[in-house]
Amino acid sequence: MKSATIEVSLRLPCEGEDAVNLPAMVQELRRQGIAERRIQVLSREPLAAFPASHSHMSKLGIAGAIFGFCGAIAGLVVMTLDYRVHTGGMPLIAPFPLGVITYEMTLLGSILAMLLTLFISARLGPGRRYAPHPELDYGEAILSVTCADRQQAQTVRELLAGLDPGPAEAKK
Amino acid sequence: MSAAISHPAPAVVDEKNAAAALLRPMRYTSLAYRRMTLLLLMVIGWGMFCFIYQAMVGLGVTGLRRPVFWGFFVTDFVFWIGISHAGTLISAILRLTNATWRYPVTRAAEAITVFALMIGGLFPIIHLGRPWLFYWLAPYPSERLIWPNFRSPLEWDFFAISTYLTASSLYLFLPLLPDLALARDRSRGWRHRLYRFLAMSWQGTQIQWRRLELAIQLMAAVVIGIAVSVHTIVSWDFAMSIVPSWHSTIFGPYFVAGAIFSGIAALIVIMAILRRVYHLEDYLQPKHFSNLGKLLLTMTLLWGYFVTAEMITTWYGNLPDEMGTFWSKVSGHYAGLFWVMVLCNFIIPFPLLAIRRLRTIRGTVIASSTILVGMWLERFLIVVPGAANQRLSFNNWYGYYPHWTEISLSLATLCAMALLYMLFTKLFPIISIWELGAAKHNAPVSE
Amino acid sequence: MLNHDSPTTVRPRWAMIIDLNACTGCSACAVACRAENNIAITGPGEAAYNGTIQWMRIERTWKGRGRHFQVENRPVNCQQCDDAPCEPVCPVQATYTNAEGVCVQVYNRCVGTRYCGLNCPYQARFFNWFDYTWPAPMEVQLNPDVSLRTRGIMEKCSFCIQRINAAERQAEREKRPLRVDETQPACAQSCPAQALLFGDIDQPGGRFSANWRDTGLETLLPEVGTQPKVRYARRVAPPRSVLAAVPNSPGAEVEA
Repeated sequence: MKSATIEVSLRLPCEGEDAVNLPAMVQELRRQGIAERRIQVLSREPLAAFPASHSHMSKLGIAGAIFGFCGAIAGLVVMTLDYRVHTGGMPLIAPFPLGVITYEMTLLGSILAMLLTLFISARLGPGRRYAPHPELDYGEAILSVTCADRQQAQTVRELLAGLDPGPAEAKK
Repeated sequence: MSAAISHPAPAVVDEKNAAAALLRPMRYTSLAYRRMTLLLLMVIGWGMFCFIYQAMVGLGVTGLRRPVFWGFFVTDFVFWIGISHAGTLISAILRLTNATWRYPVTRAAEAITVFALMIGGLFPIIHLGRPWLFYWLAPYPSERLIWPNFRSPLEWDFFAISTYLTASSLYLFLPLLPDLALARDRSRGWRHRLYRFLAMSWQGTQIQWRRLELAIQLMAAVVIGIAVSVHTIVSWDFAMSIVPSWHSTIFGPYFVAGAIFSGIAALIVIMAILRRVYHLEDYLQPKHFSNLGKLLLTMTLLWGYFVTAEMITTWYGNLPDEMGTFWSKVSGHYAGLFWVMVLCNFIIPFPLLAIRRLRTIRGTVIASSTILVGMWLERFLIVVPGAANQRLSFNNWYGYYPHWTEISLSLATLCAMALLYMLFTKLFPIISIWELGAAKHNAPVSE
Repeated sequence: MLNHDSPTTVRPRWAMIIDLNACTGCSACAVACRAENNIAITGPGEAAYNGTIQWMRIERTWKGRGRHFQVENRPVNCQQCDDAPCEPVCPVQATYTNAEGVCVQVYNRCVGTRYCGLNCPYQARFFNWFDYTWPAPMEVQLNPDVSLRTRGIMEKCSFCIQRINAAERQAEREKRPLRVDETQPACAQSCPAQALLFGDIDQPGGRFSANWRDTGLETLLPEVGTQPKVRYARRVAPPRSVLAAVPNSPGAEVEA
């Protein structure tokens, strides 16, 4: 049950060089046997200390483009074959207009595919469950660990206290 | 952009204060703002009345008559679609070239794009003889087995503009996500509910940041492809016809250059207004105006080049069909407007932008204002003299003058644009807060 | 409208020849067209502002001065192009060339972008700027075979398609092919000088189809490549002696 999870978080300043320690802390937590998906580093601005991770977004963008391209051509061809509009012998679609419309649909397909990739891979979307941290400010980061039960929460609290010289905050 | 890199991001800005300062316009609304809103709403209401009147009585209430079937509305359409190139195209180019001075500029530009497109997209509907049937241009399966005509440039417009509107809305929305989350965390009541919905449960995890930055970067590349195609297709409304002087191969790049030209001008004017009204002097600094002024200078020269190329080809070819339009612009019925356009688009802005001492905020704003007037005239001088000078000489007609409905609707849509923009600044931070913060921390990386 | 089960296997291709030598510029064609096709009367104010609707109009051109003065009356209607520039630009396909070569306008489908009007090099397309009314008692003489046009749509010459359809239906009822000269548009019917000839280009052995192939015929704006199905017999100038015999030639006014 998700409602039973306990979030243990550590709020710490990370102006410039301070942020470099954060990846090491995450590594330490991982070594202590906490699953990667349970550890999150939240910030108000992207932290340069965390390297860009591998993403399929560009490939999926190209796949979306191909989908849009094929979809546009298939749609227009099916339309022409299925609907016998009387055009006085002129084709319902012709190569050049087909190219123009297909170009637009190709790029649209690419954009929508990238948007979808972003939303799924970054766990975004309206109404998704998230742990609010309104206290988070610029120049700070929150190291947040989602624990399955009280016992694990206690362990994590001790771990965090050992990792960081500052005060650890725990919250539900 | 080399000049841009030599200027680092505004390091004087402390982003904690920035967040408060930039969220301030969203919290406090002045009396002047309310009065302005009321005034704009009144003009928009008058415009709506004009539109309904025009739809009920017929397009005869405009000054349009055969053969000038297109006039003010098509001019406005091309103009606003041109303005919409401010945003996405400029901000995408600045992002892709990693111009670090861009941070306070991009959001303002992207918002112009979305709203100018909304306004521009209205005009093809306003100008229809039967506007209530506008949806017949959309390809939807009809029980009467009728489809739109995919060979018509107006149909390409439909696809191009709807794609562009989708893409530019997303391109405005994605960089807004972290700021929406900030607004969500700092607000209560209906605003909190609104931002909670719009922020898409953004938390600021590092995977979210990486994916977002990647998505913005990738989309910038695609959006440039769309933006260029959109104004090319708008130009093809004219170039694909057989009207002499419209049927020109240069129109695609000519319109795109003109669009970026007027887009930058609109951006500079709006930035100056924002700076003055919301006291953003710390963020929108003279160097931003100067840098955009340099871009604008490039576009002034490019515009001059295109107009020269277009006019000299017509003149040298000396085809009787095209010379009617040519002389009507250079020394005939439309000469006054033509030379005002040259004055506004080149003669006034060129020295203001080229001389460094004059490339101040005031100088760039004056240049941009004249350019906006000049670019509107340019669109008018493409649409109307071309339509007025037809191949059969007995059909030439210089009787087109806009009537009050056309002028009112043009003004009302301008006010609608202003109102949309004003509402946007009340609901969303007009300067990207997180990018300012990131700029401070990552400044050594990008330099 | 298009009956594909017609006994005539080869469908006709309608065309018109306009003889500029015969045309006197009397405008009977324009009046007949107006009566037949329920064309709106827009009034003097609109006429001064280029707002008239004339499917068939007489374009008058003056050439020369004084004794060499010539006036040419050229009836211009929709040229019924084989390769009509107005058709591909319509976003809703409200205009197309039907199986008999007539470029038709579908009033119900038209949304009024007016692109076709701009792309017509002959300016033969007219827009309904208002909902026009007919002053009493003219509304009682409206032709029931032709629909009235509402505001906001394009209209143009249809070669009196209602007459063509009626003749074809009659022929079909009588189970016979369409006879030569069985139908003609109102303009051709009413021309006192018989300057307008209407017929089927493909009629085998017909008089019209023989005339159509006359190389002396010209089309309006051939350089645009629209291949019109209206051709003009070029005006041959009258001898000077004829002109000299005309007292008070209008050329004197022009010269003054």
